[in-house]
Amino acid sequence: AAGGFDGSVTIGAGATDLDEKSHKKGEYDGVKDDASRFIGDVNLSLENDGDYIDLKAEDIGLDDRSFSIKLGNYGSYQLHMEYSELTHLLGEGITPFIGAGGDVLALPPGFSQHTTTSQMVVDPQWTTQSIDLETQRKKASIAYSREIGSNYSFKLGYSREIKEGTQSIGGMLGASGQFTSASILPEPIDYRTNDITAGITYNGEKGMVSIAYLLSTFENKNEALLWENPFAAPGGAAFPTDAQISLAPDNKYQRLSLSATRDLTMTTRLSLTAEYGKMEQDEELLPYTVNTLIAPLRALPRDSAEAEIDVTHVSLNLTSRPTNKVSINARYRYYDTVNKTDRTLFMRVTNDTGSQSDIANGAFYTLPFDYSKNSLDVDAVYRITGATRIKAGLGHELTDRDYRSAEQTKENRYKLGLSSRLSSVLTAMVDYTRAEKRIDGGYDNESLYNAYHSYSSASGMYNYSATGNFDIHPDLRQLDLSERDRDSYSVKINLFPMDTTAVSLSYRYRNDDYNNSELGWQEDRLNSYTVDVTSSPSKNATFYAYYTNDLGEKELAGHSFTSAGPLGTKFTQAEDDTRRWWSDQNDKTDTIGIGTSLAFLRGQFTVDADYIHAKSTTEIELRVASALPSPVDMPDLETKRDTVNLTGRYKLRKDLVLGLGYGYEKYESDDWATDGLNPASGDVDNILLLTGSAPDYEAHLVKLFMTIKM
Amino acid sequence: SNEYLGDKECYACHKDIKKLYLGNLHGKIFTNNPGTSLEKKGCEACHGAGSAHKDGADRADKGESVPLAVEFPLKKGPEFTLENNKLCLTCHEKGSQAHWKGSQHEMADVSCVDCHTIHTEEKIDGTDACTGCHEQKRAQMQRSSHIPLREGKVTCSSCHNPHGSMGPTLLRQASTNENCYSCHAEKRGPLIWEHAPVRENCGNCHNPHGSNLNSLLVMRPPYLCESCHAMSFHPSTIYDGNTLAARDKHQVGKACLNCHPMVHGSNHPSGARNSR
Repeated sequence: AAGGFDGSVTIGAGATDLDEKSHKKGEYDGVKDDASRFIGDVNLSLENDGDYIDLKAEDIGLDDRSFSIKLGNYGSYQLHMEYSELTHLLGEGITPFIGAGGDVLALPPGFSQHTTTSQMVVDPQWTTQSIDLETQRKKASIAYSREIGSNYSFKLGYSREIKEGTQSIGGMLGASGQFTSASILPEPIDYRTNDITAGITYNGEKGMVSIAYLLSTFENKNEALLWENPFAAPGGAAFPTDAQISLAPDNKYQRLSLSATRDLTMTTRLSLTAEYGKMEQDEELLPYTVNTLIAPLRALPRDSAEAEIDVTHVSLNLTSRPTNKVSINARYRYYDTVNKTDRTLFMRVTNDTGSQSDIANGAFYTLPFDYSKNSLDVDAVYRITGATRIKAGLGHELTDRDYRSAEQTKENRYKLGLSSRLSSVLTAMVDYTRAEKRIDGGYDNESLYNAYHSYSSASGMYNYSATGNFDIHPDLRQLDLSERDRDSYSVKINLFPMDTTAVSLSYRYRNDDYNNSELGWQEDRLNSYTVDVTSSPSKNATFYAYYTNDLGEKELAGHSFTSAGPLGTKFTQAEDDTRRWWSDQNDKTDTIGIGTSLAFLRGQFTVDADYIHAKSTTEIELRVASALPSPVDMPDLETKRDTVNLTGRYKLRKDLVLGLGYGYEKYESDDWATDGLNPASGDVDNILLLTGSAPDYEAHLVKLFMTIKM
Repeated sequence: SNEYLGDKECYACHKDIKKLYLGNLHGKIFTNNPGTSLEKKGCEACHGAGSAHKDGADRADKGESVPLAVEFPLKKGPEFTLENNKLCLTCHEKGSQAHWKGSQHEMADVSCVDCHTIHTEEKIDGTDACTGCHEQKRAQMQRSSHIPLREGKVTCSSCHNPHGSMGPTLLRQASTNENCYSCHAEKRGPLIWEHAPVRENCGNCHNPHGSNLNSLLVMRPPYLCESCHAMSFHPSTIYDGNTLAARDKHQVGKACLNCHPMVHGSNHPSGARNSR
């Protein structure tokens, strides 16, 4: 409005009926069970001579509520204060651990250690409690911005977010993969994140310069999680009474940014961004173990983490339109991380179990991984006619890495595209991209092995032979390092059969071929098509409908080998190609959306209706070479959701609208990792789970509300 | 000659537009606190001097057949995108729009008015405006594992700057990971035991737009982990329906993460295998 008091207030009530409690239903609003709730939304504005106050509140009755106040003077300054909450329900679980939410977990008094969970559940002292796995974010922020004259402006901001709750985390005991047991633990979440931002900008006729600073600190109230161990050792070394796992450490990030643009000519612009950041983490280190039977422990190499990564980013962008028919853009990007953390030998105690490692056995060096990327991309567009354009592009990216099996990869990119308005009712676009990524300098497991492992003599160094001094199979190319040919294209056709109706057909295809990887990902393919229809036959009616079908296909090749048995078994099996296996993961997804907005009685009565159907199936099929037993495919992973929302609004008066809404949602899922598994029934011998009820639900929602317009 | 008349002359005829114009940010700044000489021209800042248009309208009212000279409305069709955008860029080529030129959207001839409606009081929806063209992302955000995009708690523009950025794929930050750290500061570290693919790109394992698999993963563990950890014994074992029937600890519950929970790296002195 031009001035004065304006806006609306919506109040009402809603009720949800669920056939069974489900965290999935209330994943982001907290409504996981039968409940009634207050509906409240506020959007008010007070203005006078360019001064304004805007008040906004959304979802007041839900766990994702937010409040905002903006006050200022248009074109001059603004003070923005905001508070928001966001819940995230992760699940429900059953656990024998007492003290969920804290950093010390105890077992029921008198409970004895057992080798398997099936023995635990018949222990006379076995008791469990249900816990909700969920987190809640609460964020408050304040920001002030001001224009100074017509050329300068500055911004200051501060935000603080508190994230609290409980999620799950695995806690393992056992010194070797064969003899391990794990408890899934309730992990306490108690985070504080503070961000301070400041920036000043100069805007001139031919460009701008902006300098900004960010200080972000993260604090975790829980440095570690200590738990009483319910497992007795199934074999090997004895298990301790207590064990401890580290949690996310406090950290700090600072960044100074410079951004500038300059019009070199009327048609050519140069842009620059230069940033320098510093990530630091210096949490006091935990002891190697809390197992008091392992003593005396060798001292830690240092008291605190002393971890630091510096980040440098420079991007240059030159764009020009020398004629109305031609656009050219060249972009150079340099992104460099320097890990300044010392490479350090830690004499680990594996999972609080067994003896402390030494140089000859089991001690590892930390690897201060870092990487840098240099890329140059040039794109050009040529408009053949006013309605038809072609584009082409070339790109090159060089990535250097420390402490990886491939220290340098290069990627060349080629792009072609054509788009045309073929007639007043038909437009078409075709794009093709090819990217070829190659390893430069060879794939080298040896250097990485020798950098990571400690050894007391040369005989302990990497040696792919019967000595077994290797870990990763030499034929493997790790996912992000492997050579890859990527072909992708997309086709899109827009039809406008009537002024009021648009039909869009689009198809996207991408195939990543890891043709030089004998093991690891072989192919990653995506086929996706969408049919989209929108129509507005009158100003009182709009319709939309879409259907998207996605098919993702990933092929992984593996090689099963062990070192069980005589010396040389590991090498012999690694060399034996009949021990290969393949896993094909096919993700099939159908998504349908249909909706309408209708107005009746000259807009006095409106109806909005939406329907969403989303169904996905993940198939995992397995194949093997001759030396491995015939596999059985995995059961399908499935999710299916149908959602209906209907809302009617009746304008009772000019300033009063009554509303009635109904929602229906049904969710079904099959997940072989958790379905039917219950920690209280000792289903999995050496994993004490934290699973609970299935997330499936059927929900009805009714809401009644009124909107008062000011 | 064509001369500037001032807003009041426009309001006299365009009463509906006046209400919308004064209700949006353009009208509020232009009428209350214009910062530049152009902003002081009000409606004519965008539409150009109005006297010829008014004269034409007056003559048309008298029954004469004359063209209504005015620089707007915008011309329809992709061939006019450059021309149409140029007008908006007169003012909007600074701040978060500073890197529009050369951006993916600009090079694709996206027009400002493809997403923005000028004469409205309503603010643009930072997700709906995108999904009209990015249909696949619209479908992905309906998947079971998703960030709260469809709930409206974050928008596409929470992570991306559609007006251009110096980060990859129009991300607001300089890298994918820096973007993720904006909300997940606990993952920022750095840690004494880094997991290299995690440090380099969260997108190696996660699809932020939605997934059929828990935790936005691109592949189900243990297969995802086996993509890189082909080592003797359990990391190279084939896990299938037979092992699942035996409730193998590498498949049920959190799969590999039952025992190796610190997949994002560990700060524990004994955390070499990401189990502490």
